[in-house]
Amino acid sequence: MIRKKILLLGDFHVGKTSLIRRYVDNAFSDDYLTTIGVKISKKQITLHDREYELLIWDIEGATPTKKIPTHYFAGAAGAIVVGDLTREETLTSLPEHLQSFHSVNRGKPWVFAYNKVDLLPVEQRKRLQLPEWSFATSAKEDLNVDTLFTTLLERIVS
Amino acid sequence: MRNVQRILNSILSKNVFEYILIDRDANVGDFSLEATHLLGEKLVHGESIFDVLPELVGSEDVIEEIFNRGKQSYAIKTVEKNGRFLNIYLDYFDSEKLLILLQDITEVTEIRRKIMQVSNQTTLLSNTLQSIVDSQKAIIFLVDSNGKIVFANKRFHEYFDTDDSPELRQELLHTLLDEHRDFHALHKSVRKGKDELRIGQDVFSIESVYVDPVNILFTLTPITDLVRKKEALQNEIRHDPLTGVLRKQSFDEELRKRLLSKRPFALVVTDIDNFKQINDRYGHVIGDKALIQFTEVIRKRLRDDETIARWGGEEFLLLLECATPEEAIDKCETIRRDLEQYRFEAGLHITASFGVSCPHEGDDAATLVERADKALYQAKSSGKNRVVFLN
Ligand SMILES: Nc1nc2c(ncn2[C@@H]2O[C@H](COP(=O)(O)OP(=O)(O)O)[C@@H](O)[C@H]2O)c(=O)[nH]1
Ligand SMILES: [Mg+2]
Repeated sequence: MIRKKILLLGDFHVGKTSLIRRYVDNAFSDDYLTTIGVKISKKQITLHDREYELLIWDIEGATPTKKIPTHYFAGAAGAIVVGDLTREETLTSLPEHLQSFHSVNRGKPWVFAYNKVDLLPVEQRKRLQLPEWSFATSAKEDLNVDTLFTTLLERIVS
Repeated sequence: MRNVQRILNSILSKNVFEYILIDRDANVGDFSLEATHLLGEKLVHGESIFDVLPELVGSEDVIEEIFNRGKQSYAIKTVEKNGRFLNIYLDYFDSEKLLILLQDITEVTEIRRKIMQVSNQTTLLSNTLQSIVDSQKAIIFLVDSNGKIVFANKRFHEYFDTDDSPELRQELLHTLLDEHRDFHALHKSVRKGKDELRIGQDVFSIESVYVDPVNILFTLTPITDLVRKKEALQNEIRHDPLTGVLRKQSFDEELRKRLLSKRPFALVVTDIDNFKQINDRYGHVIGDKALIQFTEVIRKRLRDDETIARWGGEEFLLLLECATPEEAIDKCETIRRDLEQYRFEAGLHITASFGVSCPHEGDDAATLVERADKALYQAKSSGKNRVVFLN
């Protein structure tokens, strides 16, 4: 079994913890509990006849005044960078999060999660235009969550 | 030795650490009993540390470096595990072993989490409020007890085009405050009912309220369009739709004001001669056109502060400025001649008669108009196309 450390990055309250919970336990809660520090969840997945164990790092959301210690990024095989479609400022900070990931893990793969797509009106959903390696996800309605993690792993092993 | 010291120190300071020793292959060696409890995983000699502490996956390079360099330590802080919070420290122990220290920080972290929870929720709430306030068409700002603007919404910055320079702020204050000394004075005047504020061409309805004992919230809602419409409407109501001159009612107001001013003036009633025949013979379209041209000819001779109004069909009222009655009579005479020589629509020749009077001590509007009307009657009955003054 091959272990891979992957990170979830993004501002607070964008749904990092919820995406992990959906992916690992297939559960969701509307309640918000602030993540403190880091929490590692494990998930086993078979891809192209190989077994992997993902060690998914849920990290306390960064705020402008509080940066994540970058040595937590060490040894990560990839990152999921999450933004909240209902909060513009969390989307504009996506590149920043990616950049700090790449400052430690040069060239390592990533995917973007534009989360909480369930909250957008249908009209806006249709008009969404996302950059490369991006997914409109919903932890609440289980949209694109598996795809998100699998695509990252695909990029990691390819 | 330093690390043994560290274990000792920690125990002595009641800052309890559990420990695990691992070898160069990252396999578990000795460990303290409580470490198992803390991790919620059974520790087995010779087993890979990565199975019990997956947090260390990815830190292989760090572990190797600690062995090779003999110093350098590494920490992953505030790791949630098994329902508890831990700090994980990696330290050089000896050339064969590396020390992993586990510190239980659950209690203090739970407190921190509560604080963060509140602070995050507050941030979210204030972000939400901010975007609500920013989405308003109104200009909204908050002034503190020193009269300083401590908050302003997006519309405020767009409208006043402010960066935060002090000069701009000062200039802006002058515009906003108008004739008022400061924001508190402005607030008082708003409370007394002065609820309109003009900035250049723009008109705002202004509201102000103390949101707490020190801060006043001002809201400026743009009502320029509304005011323009209202003004246009008022104008429409005050004026005769055909000729554009004042209506009788508005003229009466002017006349009453003029009487109070005590300065001399003349009131003139004028009537187009034989207008009924024009209407009968040429029709109402020509008749209407004649009325319009009639007022145009008269207006050419009026000063800005003189007034003309339509009383009824073809009868008009004038307020003329004059030092003596003769001046007014002369002016009417000039107008009369102008009309006589003017070529009206369809080549018509039109004349008019004039009754002139000047106010006496104690005259009210009705008496004055009555006297001028009497003068007009005399002008008509003595042959029309003339000016008669009655004293
Ligand atoms: N509607 C909706 N709410 C979500 C979604 N994902 C997360 N949330 C809610 O957003 C809040 C923050 O989620 P959380 O996972 O704690 O965000 P984190 O701070 O990035 O870990 C919680 O109240 C979640 O219930 C989603 O896809 N749709
Ligand atoms: Mg979280």
